[in-house]
Amino acid sequence: MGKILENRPLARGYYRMSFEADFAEARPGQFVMLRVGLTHDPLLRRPMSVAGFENGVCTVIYRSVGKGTAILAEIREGETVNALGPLGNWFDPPSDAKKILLVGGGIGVAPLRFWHRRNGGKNAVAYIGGATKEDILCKEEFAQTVITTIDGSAGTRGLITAPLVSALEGAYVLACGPKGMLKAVDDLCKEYGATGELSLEERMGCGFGVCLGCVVDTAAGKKRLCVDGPVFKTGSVQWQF
Amino acid sequence: MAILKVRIGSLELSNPVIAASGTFGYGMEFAERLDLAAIGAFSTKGLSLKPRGGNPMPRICETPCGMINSIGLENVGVDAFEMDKLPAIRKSGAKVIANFFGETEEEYTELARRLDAMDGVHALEMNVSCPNVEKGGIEFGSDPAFLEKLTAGVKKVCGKPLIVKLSPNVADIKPFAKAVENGGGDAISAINTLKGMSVDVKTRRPRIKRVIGGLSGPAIKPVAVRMVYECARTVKIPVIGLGGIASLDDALEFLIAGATAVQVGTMNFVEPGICQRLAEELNAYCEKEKIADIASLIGSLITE
Ligand SMILES: Cc1cc2nc3c(=O)[nH]c(=O)nc-3n(C[C@H](O)[C@H](O)[C@H](O)COP(=O)(O)OP(=O)(O)OC[C@H]3O[C@@H](n4cnc5c(N)ncnc54)[C@H](O)[C@@H]3O)c2cc1C
Ligand SMILES: Cc1cc2nc3c(=O)[nH]c(=O)nc-3n(C[C@H](O)[C@H](O)[C@H](O)COP(=O)(O)O)c2cc1C
Repeated sequence: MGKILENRPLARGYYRMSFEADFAEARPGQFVMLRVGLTHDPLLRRPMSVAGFENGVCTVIYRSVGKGTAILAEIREGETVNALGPLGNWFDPPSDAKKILLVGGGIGVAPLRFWHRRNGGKNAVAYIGGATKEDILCKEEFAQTVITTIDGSAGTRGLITAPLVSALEGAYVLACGPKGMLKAVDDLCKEYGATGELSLEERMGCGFGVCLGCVVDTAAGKKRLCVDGPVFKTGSVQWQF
Repeated sequence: MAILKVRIGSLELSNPVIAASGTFGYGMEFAERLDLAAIGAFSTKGLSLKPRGGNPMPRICETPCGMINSIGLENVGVDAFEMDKLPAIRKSGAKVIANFFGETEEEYTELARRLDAMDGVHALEMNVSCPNVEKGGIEFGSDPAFLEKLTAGVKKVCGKPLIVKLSPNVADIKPFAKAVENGGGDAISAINTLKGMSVDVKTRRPRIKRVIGGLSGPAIKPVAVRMVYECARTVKIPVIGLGGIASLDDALEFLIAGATAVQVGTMNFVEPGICQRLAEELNAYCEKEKIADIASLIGSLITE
């Protein structure tokens, strides 16, 4: 159980929560399983990417999309939250990568923000896409950004994959966002000579590899998203919709 | 310390709290989350002769106080279990119940023979909620006469305690409990998941790919307690009760209704240390209530 130091709206429907972690460290790309409420409804924990970890304080950024996240948004600062973690693997780009592209769709920015806080330098550019300007999160936290929105209310109108294309050659991509975006990024990487890592999402039961509820088909066979991922190399996922 | 020891056939457990199959992996996944030697035992993910890949996604969804799963009995297969999983488990001091299933009678007996011979496996748990490919896909556990024959056949090759895990998806569970006893089974575990279904009304799609799955968690507890009560009144062999256990009181309900031991399933996902916590709370409860031996609690339901 960790004391909640902050739990407040970030933009319409989005929240940032920071709490005292009972684990010592987390790496960008890893996630926590948060217990939502104290009753059995909702029953299962909710997976959330670690969006920051400093001095024992863990930060998550979340979107209120349903029962569990709505309850999460109601928890007051000073109360406690039960987090299991850190879980899963992490972003691990080669140390000699010359150009790193951080590609985030909507709430997918959360783990990229953490990576950037730890490692971001001159060679990293964030490509952030969303439906509207309300869905573009944390843009001021990145050194360099390219923004797109579907309605054109911020950045260029369209999908983030459009401006990405011209930057891909020789780049290393770290991407997180909706499945459709990740598949498009995966395909474009292949086409334009980039490599990288994709952080995937599926409904999870346990988050630590025992329920087999979140499997992904990959070139190397069936993998559990929670322990063999959530981060997978580009070109390895056999996409299914 | 109160006496929490219970017996399942020839196997003695240090306490009656067991982690349920399919919710505890192959054991070692929990080694850093609890002391494997502090719980009564754990039951492995269901094992088959050959590895199985399981069902398409989505495989799980949440429902009020429960979840529906259709994992499709994905598992590493009995060979990989013996080679890759068992050596580490053996060192942990855990009592291991090997849960297994087949598609034919022959597969069931072959698996039982293999598991019976493995050092480090303490008991077998036969899952009969699986389609019989030789009988047009009807479940092994859906005909009492057939269940008795299957149990007897498996027991012939199995010297270790044989637990038969019953399906709740039958009109009356009592003849199935009797069939296990008549077939020579050493114990019954009940219940497996209840058939369930959930629809996403926005997309009009089933919330799991295979449409129908197995409901588990606190939502099924009253049904499970009732079935355990019915089984315990029908047979003399021990009944292991499970279905929705999330607290000490839940475990006590099953014990009082007649269960010799309990299993915890879905709640391992929510609270990975729950089995050890319940074992400790059970001890504290017995001391506080001056129950010297847990045996006096089992089946102590007062109905008049
Ligand atoms: C590894 C991982 C990291 C994640 N990181 C974040 C994060 O940093 N911030 C964030 O806001 N969300 C994140 N998610 C998604 C988040 O877990 C879900 O949005 C949340 O569980 C929904 O809970 P709910 O009770 O509010 O929604 P529910 O009432 O359960 O469902 C509402 C809607 O959300 C969808 N949904 C539910 N669970 C998931 C899930 N696990 N993945 C995708 N969609 C889901 C449902 O299909 C439904 O359409 C992550 C998911 C994973 C697997
Ligand atoms: C994800 C999942 C996988 C399961 N896999 C198995 C299995 O392989 N073999 C088996 O006998 N029971 C399996 N079960 C059933 C449980 O062992 C248990 O009987 C059931 O979930 C009811 O208990 P609970 O409400 O405490 O979860 C599984 C249950 C769940 C939720």
